[in-house]
Order: sequence, then structure tokens, then C-alpha cells
Amino acid sequence: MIQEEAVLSREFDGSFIRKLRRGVREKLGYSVRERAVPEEIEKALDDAVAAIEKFAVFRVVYRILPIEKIDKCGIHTEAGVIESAMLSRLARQCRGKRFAAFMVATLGGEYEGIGDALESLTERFVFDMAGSECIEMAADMLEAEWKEEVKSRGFAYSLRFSPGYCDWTLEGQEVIFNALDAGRIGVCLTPHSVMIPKKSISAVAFMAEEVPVVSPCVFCPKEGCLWRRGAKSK
Amino acid sequence: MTIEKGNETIVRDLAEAVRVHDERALHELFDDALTSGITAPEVRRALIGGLEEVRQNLMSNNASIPDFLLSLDRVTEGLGRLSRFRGYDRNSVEDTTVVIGVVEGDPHDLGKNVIAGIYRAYGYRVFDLGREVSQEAFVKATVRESAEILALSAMMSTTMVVMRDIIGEVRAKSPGTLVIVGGAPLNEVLALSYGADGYAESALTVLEETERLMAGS
Repeated sequence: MIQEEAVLSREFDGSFIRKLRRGVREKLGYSVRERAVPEEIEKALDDAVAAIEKFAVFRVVYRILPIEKIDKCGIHTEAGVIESAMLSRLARQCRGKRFAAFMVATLGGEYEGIGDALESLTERFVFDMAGSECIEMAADMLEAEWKEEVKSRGFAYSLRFSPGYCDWTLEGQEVIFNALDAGRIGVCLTPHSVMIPKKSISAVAFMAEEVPVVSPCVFCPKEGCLWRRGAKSK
Repeated sequence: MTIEKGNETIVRDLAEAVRVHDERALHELFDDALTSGITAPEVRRALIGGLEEVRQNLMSNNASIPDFLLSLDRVTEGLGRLSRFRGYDRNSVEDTTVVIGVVEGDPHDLGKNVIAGIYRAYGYRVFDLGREVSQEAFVKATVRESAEILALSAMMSTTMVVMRDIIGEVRAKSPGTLVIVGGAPLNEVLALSYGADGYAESALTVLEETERLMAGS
């Protein structure tokens, strides 16, 4: 089994930065070839990426806990109950030993401080978008590493899920922050369940010997949902 | 030889410079406009005209959000230079007062800043209270400024719930104020259940919604 609890950090290499630029351009609406990226946007993106390289520090803390039981209240772990009917349906599909892997990741506060101080709305928007894309991509990168490690030990892994999405309310942050010490990477939770620094993400994923369904979207009738994701195990 | 531009051409080019967010052209055109005696209301109309075209393009998916923000930034810069022009009278332009802010506990203010920028660009007098604004501060500012509009923003389901109390107190202390709310977790049904008069689904629709409320429909 991978370590039960750990703090990790990763550097952003050239390949990551190139992918980040592409991702941000797409998110900004410039993925179509005929829509050229304006000079000012390209410059704002250059500045944002330079600030990410200089000031963003990607750090993650995670902890893996056994799933004690799944009932109508949700998924029970030592840290509390994940109150989501959809995630409970997914976790019930898992076979063999079942675990919940909790995770909090952040870029730290320095990068977003620079973005928040910008006067131009355009520059702030690009900085914000670049920060969001960066933290998601970095978490994806780490998740891919974990998946390989978990797979080599005979386990499978679901997609990751965050409070505030699907039927898991934002108050679900409490279970994640009970499960691990996010203060070790400088992230705190406000009484309104808001993470500070803002460019942080929290999530849970499920590990088991068999994870036949990786996303609860397969159970969900909302075909047009913006957040709908792939449902089958790969 | 210098070819002097006519006033109509300058006004048209100003709108075009905003539309294509050309900062350098805008600076030059401002100088031309100043020496040609073009008035502040004419310049303002040109700026808004250019911005409005981009807004309409964005609404019909022919522009991106950054395109609109670039044009909005150009207008904001332009409005900052308007006082140098003949016929400038801030009070005659900004005739509707908006108090705007993000509710307590919520640090997400980018959307609110865009909305405040749009209101300013389109001639509203804006009192931006910032983010994590207390109920008391919203009510005080609304009463003090005799605001026609109170615009509340929340980006989290955990923070939006205070809107109900804010709206209740504003109703009691400033009954003439219209309240418009917006933010990611909100929808029209929730907005109305909190007692708001209107709901801005996005930065693009906030103007129409505000105008609808002001018209009493």
C-alpha cells in the first residue's frame, strides 16, 4: 500500500508549463484556430506563467483511511461521514478492501496575492484562470502517479471528487480537513468552508481491489450537466 | 502633411478602438478628440458604443470573455480621462447609484469587480464595498448613498445564505432600493426566495436585468 499519510511537493517542468499555457488558452476561449490570441492576453498569460514559476509552490497532503461502512447516511470513515448518496452508490460498487484517499493541494498564497493586486480586470482574469488551471493540472499529474503506484499493488482508483459538486455539499470539507492536517501545507478552512489560500483544492477518491465504476455520473440522469465525467473504469 | 480628422471620424474611431481594444490608437484618438473640441458626452457615447458591440458579440458567441474584458479595461481607462473634456459633468451622467459587494465570509471578488466595472462603464455611480462585506456595512452604505440598486455577490453555497438577512434589513431601512443578486451557486428561484428583486445570471445580463428592475417590470 502507498504511504498512509504524506506531504508532497512537485516542481513544474517545461512540459508542464507548455501544457499549462495550452490549457489556459483553451479555457480563455482561444482553442479554435480562427480566433487568434490577442497580444495583451498573450502578455498577461506570460506574466501569469512567470509568476507561477517564481511564486507558486505546489504542495499536497493526503491521507488514506479504510472505509468502515456505507449506509444511508453516507460513507463512514474514521474522519467522519462523506454525506453523498451518489458517492455512496459508487463506493458500494467497489470490491475487496475499500479505502477513501483524502487530499488537499495548494499553490500557496503568494501567487494569488500578486493576481489580486492587479488593477486590470483582464490581467486578473487571466491570472485567476492560470492559477485554477495550474492547481487542477498539478493534482491530475500527482493522481496519475498515484494510480500507477496503486495499480502496481493490485488496487484500482476512482476519479477524485470535491465538496460542492454533485450532491456532496461544501460542508463536506469538514470530513477532509478532519482526515488530514492541511495546516502542514499552509491551507486552512474558514467557518464558511472556504479554503485559504483560494488556489487550493480538496478531494476524496476511492481505492479498492476492484473499482468497476469510477464516476457516479453513470447513475445520474442529468445528461446536460457541465460536470459530467467518464464513468467506466480504465 | 497632417490630415485632420473630422469629429465624426474621431468618434467613430474611438468606438472602433474600444471594440478592438487598441490601447495605442485610443490614446492618440483621445488627444485628437481633445484638440477637436469633442465633448465629454460624445466621448462617453463612443466608448460605450464600442463596448456594447463587443458585449453583443459575446452574447452571440462571436467574442470571448477576455475580448470583452480588454474592451472594458479600455473604457475604464477612457472614463478616467473624461474630466479633461468640455461639457464634463459627472452628476449628469451617473444618475443611478449602485452599492455593490461580496457577502461576508466570501473572498471571491473577481466576478463582482467585473460587474462593478460594467456598471461604471455604462454610467452608473458605483460604491464598491469590496469583499467579505458585513450585513451592517451593506445596509449602512445603501441608506447613506440612497442607492437605487444594491448588488450582492456570493460564490459559495455556504456564504450566499446571508443574503436573505441583508435583503430583509435593506427592505426595512431603504424600501426604495432594488436588490439584484448573482454568483455561481445562485439561480433565479433561490434569488427570489431570498427576497431579491432580480437575479443576474452573468456579467453579460446584469445590465438588462437592472434596466428591467428600474423600469418596474
